Amino acid sequence: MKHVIIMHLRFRSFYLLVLAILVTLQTTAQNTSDYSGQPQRRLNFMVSPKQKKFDWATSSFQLQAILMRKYHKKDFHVIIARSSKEMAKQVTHILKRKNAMIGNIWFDSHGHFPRRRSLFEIGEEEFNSHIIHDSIATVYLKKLAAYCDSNTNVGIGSCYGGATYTLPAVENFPAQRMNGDSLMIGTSKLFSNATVYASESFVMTGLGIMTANYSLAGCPGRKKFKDPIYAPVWEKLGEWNCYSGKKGKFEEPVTVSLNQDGSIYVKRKNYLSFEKNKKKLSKKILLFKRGNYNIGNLYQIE
Amino acid sequence: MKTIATIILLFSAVHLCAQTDPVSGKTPGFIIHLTTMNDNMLKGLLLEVKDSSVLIYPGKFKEWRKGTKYIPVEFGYSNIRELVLKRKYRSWKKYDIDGSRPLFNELKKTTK
Repeated sequence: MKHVIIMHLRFRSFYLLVLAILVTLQTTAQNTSDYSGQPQRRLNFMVSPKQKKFDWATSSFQLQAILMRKYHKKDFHVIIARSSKEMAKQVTHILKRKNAMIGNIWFDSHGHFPRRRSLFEIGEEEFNSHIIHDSIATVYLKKLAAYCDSNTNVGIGSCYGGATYTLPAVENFPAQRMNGDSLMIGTSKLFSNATVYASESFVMTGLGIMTANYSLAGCPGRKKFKDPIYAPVWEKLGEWNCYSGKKGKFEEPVTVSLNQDGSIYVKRKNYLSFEKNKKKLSKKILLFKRGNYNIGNLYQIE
Repeated sequence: MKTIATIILLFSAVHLCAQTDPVSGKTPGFIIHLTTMNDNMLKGLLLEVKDSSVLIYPGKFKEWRKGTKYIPVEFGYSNIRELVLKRKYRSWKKYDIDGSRPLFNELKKTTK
């Protein structure tokens, strides 16, 4: 009798195991293809500029991304390009070959404070709130729209890429709005109503940027940043704006991070919601001194 | 005689290669740190001291030598609080102008 009960239990557990495998297979199948037969596989891309001169921040970002690519070869691709044309060519080639769509795309770039506007660069091409609406300048970015939808996440990884504040007047330069929101809306439209994330403040490229922690948030240590000219940037440390193309509106500001597979990850708590970071910031703001920033940089742009 | 001729030739070649200032026709002689009346700092190269203003190249010597073209910036004496000048192989020299004409004229004399 005891033997029969054990046999029955074994058969039951085997039956349950088979059932579990079947359920898993079915959910996986649902993820890879939808009912219309459209490709549903999502790939993550990290777009970084090809350097002419050595740049520590860009090199650090590229190295970390390449290292992570080694462990996530199936879903994550690092694109190092000189122009948007080169970038679009590489991305579409991968997407066509793998019959996939863009899940997350991150544009690693420098922000340029002396230009007094939000922007991101691909190689030497600049995309700001005006250029993003120019159909000729964005012709290659538009090619990626076919592989994007409202589930795609776009990250503008440049400092002040999503800045919405007005920079105060400095000497001959009048007060100027950064227009990061216009850049985000334009980018979302360009990428088929994708969700766009862009920073109000600095984007750091220290160690561990792709470990889903707060390493993208933070502040630089150089003296030139400790000037009241930079005050609006410091006040919004670690704050990222999020524009949802699907809803057509801006969501609550968040702190963004990157996962190991290059996907954009939203942190539960904002960087400045921690008391430790608030104290650190208020200490640094007290040390601000006018004259730390060379306004000659502003004249170099004109 | 040949050696002297070669030296002269080399010197003239060096002179030809040197970048000249588009405004005054000379290589800038001073590095300048200008503090405005709003306490902003402008670092650059002093191109010229005019009657009531200074003309500054808003870049470094390295950029000047490379021929990077920046539009020179002009600052009137009324907008200058302080000037710090440095000549090659010499120490920094400070001029407190505080937006006044007589103090600016002193600077003109010393930089001539």
